[in-house]
Amino acid sequence: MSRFRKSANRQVPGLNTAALPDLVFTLLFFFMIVTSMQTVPVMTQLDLPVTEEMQKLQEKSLLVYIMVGKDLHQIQFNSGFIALDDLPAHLQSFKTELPEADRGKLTAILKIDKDTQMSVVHKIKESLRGAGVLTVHYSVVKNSRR
Amino acid sequence: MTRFKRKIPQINSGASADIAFLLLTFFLITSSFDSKTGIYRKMNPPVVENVLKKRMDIQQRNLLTLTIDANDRIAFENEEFPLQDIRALSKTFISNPDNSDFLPEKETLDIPEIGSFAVTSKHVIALYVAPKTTYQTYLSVLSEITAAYNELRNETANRLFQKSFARLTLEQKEAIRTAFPYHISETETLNEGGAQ
Repeated sequence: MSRFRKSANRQVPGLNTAALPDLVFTLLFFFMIVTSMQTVPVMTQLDLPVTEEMQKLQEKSLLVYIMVGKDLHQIQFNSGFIALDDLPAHLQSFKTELPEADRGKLTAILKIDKDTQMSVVHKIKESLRGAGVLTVHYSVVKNSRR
Repeated sequence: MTRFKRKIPQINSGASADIAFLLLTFFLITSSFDSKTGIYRKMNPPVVENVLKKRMDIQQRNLLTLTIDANDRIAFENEEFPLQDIRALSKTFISNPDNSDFLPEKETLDIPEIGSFAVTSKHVIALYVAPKTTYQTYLSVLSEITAAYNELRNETANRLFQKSFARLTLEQKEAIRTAFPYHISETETLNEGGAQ
């Protein structure tokens, strides 16, 4: 019966956690690749419009952000607040800071509240057109009903 | 000569997981799933033309006029028109499948990759928007029109190349774009009522 005798000093071996950091690092790299750092903070309170059709933003650089929230007195131009009437001047000075070859490639990202009147949107579009920024990206939320 | 090998103690790596977790949480907090992640949509620039001036040159059959008034009502040829029908209407208008005399005239173009293709090259979808229209209504209409173009492009890509538009090569995409070019013209109406 000695074969089945319990040894008195049996110990549970320590759990090997050497591979745990590898797991976490994999997660970390996944998040680093998938997410994008936000370059322009959204300081305007707004509800984006909802549509069914949408396309992904292709350009990653040469972007101009214009955000219009509930408060029409100040609109957000990149990371500062300006008045709507000053938009052409700001666009112009933004463009002159860019290298000449890149000036035509600008894309405007319009984040506009869904209840905004079209006269405001038209004014922004006219300013963009006047400054030669012809590619416009209307930010929307996709309608997931379909 | 040493007879016995000296045992090297294992390095305790238990804390490195904590460091990795710290980094992970940092990235989770600072990063944001913003505009670039796909719930947003890219629009082509509107065809910028002086519509009022050009209207003289456009034949009636080549023109589709949609009006949105200050109360967010959508009208097609001065009659109220439901939003969900705009896509089908635009598709028929852009493609003119039955070569109807009331729909845009076709021009046979020789497009690389496709060959000769009948394109409604002169069609114009004119969108008249009142200043008091809400942005949401305007974008809903624009989204439907864009969807019409995209569906036509997809259908044609499936028919000619047996692939969806997104999976075509650059040259093939360009060919399909030439076959169904965006011709959307936008004008702000001046009067409060909307329709001109």
